Amino acid sequence: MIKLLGANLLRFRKSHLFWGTLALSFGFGVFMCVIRFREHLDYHFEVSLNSVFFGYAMVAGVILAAFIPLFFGTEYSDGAIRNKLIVGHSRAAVYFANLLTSLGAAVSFFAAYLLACTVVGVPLIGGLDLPVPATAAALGGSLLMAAAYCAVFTFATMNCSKKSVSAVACLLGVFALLFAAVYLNGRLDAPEFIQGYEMSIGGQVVSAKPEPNPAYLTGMKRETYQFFYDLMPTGQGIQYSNVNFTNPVRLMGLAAALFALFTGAGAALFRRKDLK
Amino acid sequence: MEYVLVTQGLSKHYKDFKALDNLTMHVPKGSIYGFVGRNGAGKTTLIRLICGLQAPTSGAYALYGVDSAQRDIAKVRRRMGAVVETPSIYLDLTAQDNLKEQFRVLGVPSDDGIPGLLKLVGLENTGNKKARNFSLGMKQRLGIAVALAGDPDFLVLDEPVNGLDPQGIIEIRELILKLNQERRLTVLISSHILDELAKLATHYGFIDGGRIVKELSARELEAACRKCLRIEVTDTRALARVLDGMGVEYKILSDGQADVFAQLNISQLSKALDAEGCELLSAQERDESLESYFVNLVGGGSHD
Repeated sequence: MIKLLGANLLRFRKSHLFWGTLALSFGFGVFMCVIRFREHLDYHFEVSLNSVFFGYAMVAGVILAAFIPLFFGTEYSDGAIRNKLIVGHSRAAVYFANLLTSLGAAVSFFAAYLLACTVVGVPLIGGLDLPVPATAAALGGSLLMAAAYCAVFTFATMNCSKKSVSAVACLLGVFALLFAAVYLNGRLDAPEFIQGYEMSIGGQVVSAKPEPNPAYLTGMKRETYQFFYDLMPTGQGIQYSNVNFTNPVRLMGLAAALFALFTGAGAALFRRKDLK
Repeated sequence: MEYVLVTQGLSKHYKDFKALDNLTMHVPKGSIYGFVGRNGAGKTTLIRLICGLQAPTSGAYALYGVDSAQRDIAKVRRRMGAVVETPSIYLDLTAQDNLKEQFRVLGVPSDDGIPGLLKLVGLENTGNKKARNFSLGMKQRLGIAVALAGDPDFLVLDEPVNGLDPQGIIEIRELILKLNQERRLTVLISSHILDELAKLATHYGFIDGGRIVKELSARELEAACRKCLRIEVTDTRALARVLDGMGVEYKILSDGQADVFAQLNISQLSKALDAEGCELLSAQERDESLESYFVNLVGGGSHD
């Protein structure tokens, strides 16, 4: 598998797609820092690097959904995957080498974003002022979330012989999950009580006592919504990007479970796949 | 005889369709084995199986004596190279980078062999040109170079001249002959361009409906396709006496038919037979090509 990793890394070096995505990740980091800085200048908002530093977690899914099928799907479209199997590499070795390579790519893109935040963000909007445990949890959790994305997209790419189909499926899938996460976030963030208002005869608005919010989720329903919000990498991305998570261990556990599930299933399917 | 590849009762089914049906074949070491069959006969399916791209439904094959069910088959595969259907090359890389990539896949520690390989296939002057901009012939040659990167003993080529112009066909043919004669590579070539195959192959396997219908050497095929005069007479014993007298080679086919492997003067033959009390009924020149041999073998049914 070391040989296959070496071959994949050589492709990284020569790939416009890889360097372009790396530059895009860096550019996105610069863009986010500059936007925050402009908000500070224009509206005198208090800004800090906290609101930007983990912003990559929000878009990591979209970037990886485009990169992984296009980069590894080329092995199918150009037929080069055959060269690995014909000379005796096992299906498992090919699958895991590609998965590890995609993890390497995900870490590289994240690192490029963090580098931009450090180089551009710190001078403009200051450094992080988060507690170390929260920073470590967000960083570790974001990486595990990225690993879960890699496992899902590698599963799709390695088991679909058509590059365009896997790329479109991954992108549509990640956007669907993103919308689902935003919806779940909205439902879960609904307040328990809503403020009622009454209009007095004199036209003066006076507040009434708070009333229970019918949209507020309770009991099993709330737990189910929270479970899927925590399970979906897009839901995790929203939580990490806002550094607003209550149970990082649960999030990491779910990301690890997703990684294991999709990797196991993907490798098993690829082992039996008839290649052309 | 030592065989590089032996298949035993190999079958591959796709749902109800039998792409390979109990196929048994033998590829001798050092040979150029022409694998002949019409489209859909199962040539590419067999190649996919022996390359490990697909698993057989039943049956087995052995590469260099190692059975496909054994774990060591992966090691033996290191001794083979293949171009299956289209050349397996990264189109966004140069010829040199494609070979570097395959060297990494194989774990070859040094890139020193790359210029030699490029020269061997005639791509030494392609520079920074991406494979995407190569002609079909150049892509095919690069595919062969990638297949040769591991210095294999057994090269499998699936329709290597398909779609090439005459010049490209000649180049590929000469390359294959060079590899076989100078490097002692065993080559398995599938093709339905029979005239081209006839210029290369030392052995043939004819496949139809997923089964091998005939395996024979080029010498045996030549004998079977030999130019002859088919003569019909009233008495083949009299004909045999006459032909013995003339000192020519012949083969008696039945009481009234014989094949004569020589140029004969029909008038003289007729006179000589007349003197023996035998009548010459007809004489027909027969020149069976690989193509007509194949058609006779598998029948002239519709091609799919």
